[in-house]
Amino acid sequence: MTAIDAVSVFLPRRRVPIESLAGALRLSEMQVRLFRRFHGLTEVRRDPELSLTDLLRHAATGLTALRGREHRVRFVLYARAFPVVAPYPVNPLHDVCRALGLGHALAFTVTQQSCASALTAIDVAGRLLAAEPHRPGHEPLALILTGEKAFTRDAQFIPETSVFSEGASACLVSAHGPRDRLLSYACAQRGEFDVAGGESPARFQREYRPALAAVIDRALAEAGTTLADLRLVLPHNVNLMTWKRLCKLIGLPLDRVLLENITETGHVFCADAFANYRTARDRDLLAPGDRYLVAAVGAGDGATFAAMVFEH
Amino acid sequence: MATGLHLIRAARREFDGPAALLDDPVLRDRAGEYLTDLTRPYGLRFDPSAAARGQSYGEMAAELIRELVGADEPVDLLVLAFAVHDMLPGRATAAYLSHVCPGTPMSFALCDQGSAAPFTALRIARDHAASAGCRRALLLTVEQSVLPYAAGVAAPERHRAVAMLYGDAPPDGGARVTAVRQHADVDPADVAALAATELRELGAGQPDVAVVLGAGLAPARPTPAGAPLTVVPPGQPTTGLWWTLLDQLGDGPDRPRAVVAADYEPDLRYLCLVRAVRRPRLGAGSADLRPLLRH
Repeated sequence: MTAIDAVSVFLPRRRVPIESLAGALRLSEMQVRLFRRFHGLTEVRRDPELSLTDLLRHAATGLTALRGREHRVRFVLYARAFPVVAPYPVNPLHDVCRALGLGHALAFTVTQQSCASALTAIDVAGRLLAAEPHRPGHEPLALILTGEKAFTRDAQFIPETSVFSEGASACLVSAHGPRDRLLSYACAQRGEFDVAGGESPARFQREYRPALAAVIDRALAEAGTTLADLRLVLPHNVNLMTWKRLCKLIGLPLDRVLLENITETGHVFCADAFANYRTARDRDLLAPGDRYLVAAVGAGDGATFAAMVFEH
Repeated sequence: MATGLHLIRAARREFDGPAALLDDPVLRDRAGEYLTDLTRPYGLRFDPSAAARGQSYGEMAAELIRELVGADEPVDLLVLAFAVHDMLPGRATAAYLSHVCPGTPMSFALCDQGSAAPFTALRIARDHAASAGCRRALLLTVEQSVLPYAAGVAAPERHRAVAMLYGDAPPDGGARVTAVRQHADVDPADVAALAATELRELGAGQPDVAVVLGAGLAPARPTPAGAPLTVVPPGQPTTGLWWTLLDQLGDGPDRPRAVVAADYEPDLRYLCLVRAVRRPRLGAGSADLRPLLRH
């Protein structure tokens, strides 16, 4: 059963108040107020001195569990919200792999599910690992990287909805590890909300929370568990209001959702799940046997709703 | 797909002209802003006149899906593999393709791996096939010929796409994928020897096993003497191998029993191989008889 072995997160130290982004993003005072007061987004992390490669490398070098086990890493999956982040053939993923001594691993990017790509990467990594032959004591590992720069307007904010933070994460996955075992994965895609799909943004707004509620239901059912059994929900950090309304819709107490990073860091692309996991571990919010749910929504052009249930 | 990965049917297409979506000034400007911001940190300048000739993988792949997948053939997994990006680089194209594909499959794109990406997609499809409930997987390999900046490398020569539908073994015909192998970090000095060993292990050298060598591997000349050999012409680094492989797997009296196809990605140092065994057709009376390749 796919399991998370270790997670590290890197966020640039430089904090940027939402207000200071208004000029560059052409936001009105009212729009800034909406982000801060209604959505609970107060600041993000941005550092123009750090390249994408820097972000990924910092996250991976912070993963102490990787040290000495590099030779067991067979796959490196880079889960990314934005499909293209460097001009061809520049390849930050392979640059980082070489720098980390992971040139022997098969490295590729999983994308086009927007910010839900991270959950697909965990699922794919688990399947690849399960099929990988190995000697006893040399169980193969996969490294899942996330990390993005807010390099263009589309990667800086989602109008009326969220603001992106720069940051990165590194996650070590095994096929049969004892900790944080993956019990279920549910994913639903709504390509009709793509630019060529023909559906209106208004309909997307109406269907957003019910669609997320539906994949959460599916993930819970596949895991043989219920909302009431969950110790914690690790959300995507889109904004506070979405989660307040979703909790009301599905009958989940708001204090069961780890929301503090929304205010502190905003939406860190695909890294939200890992940043929130790290916070949960650092604050001792998960005890052995606790079940928790990770949710993600990729809402670029087209939409992907995803949820996973884990047992700690 | 409990009995392994079978290629049921395939389609391939060369596309003329630019993406229709680029006719929309809003989308064109948005893509232009994205590509301008993408290239600036690398000291490159976005060329909008070049971009106007570029293609959309969404449009290319959607056409092949319409051609290849019947409404009564729901797909469970769709993987879009590419090396060179298209002209709508911020778009979640795979999510859109899920919408236009029967079955609304789970879909994602796989990239940043050069010509190794379709092989990885095939491995992932094989691993999905082993799990319960996966009936069909659709692999789409796409490349378009425009890089709208001075990339310093050659772009593909043409806009091309190859779609391969995998699933349970059809009543007859098709091909069974019996091996997918990938080696990472293969030094150019070692690739000939390693490829020769792998090709022999996969049956190359036997008279009824054809070999298809990608343009990245052909210069290494790793093929055993006497093996029926087809070398993929240069110019289509990502789709070329699969395009040619389908010629070998298609119908015809002189076709081999099995095909081993291999390629080397010189920039990223991957050596990849696939072996497919053709399944004989039962005859013209079969109601399910359909050509493997739809042009």
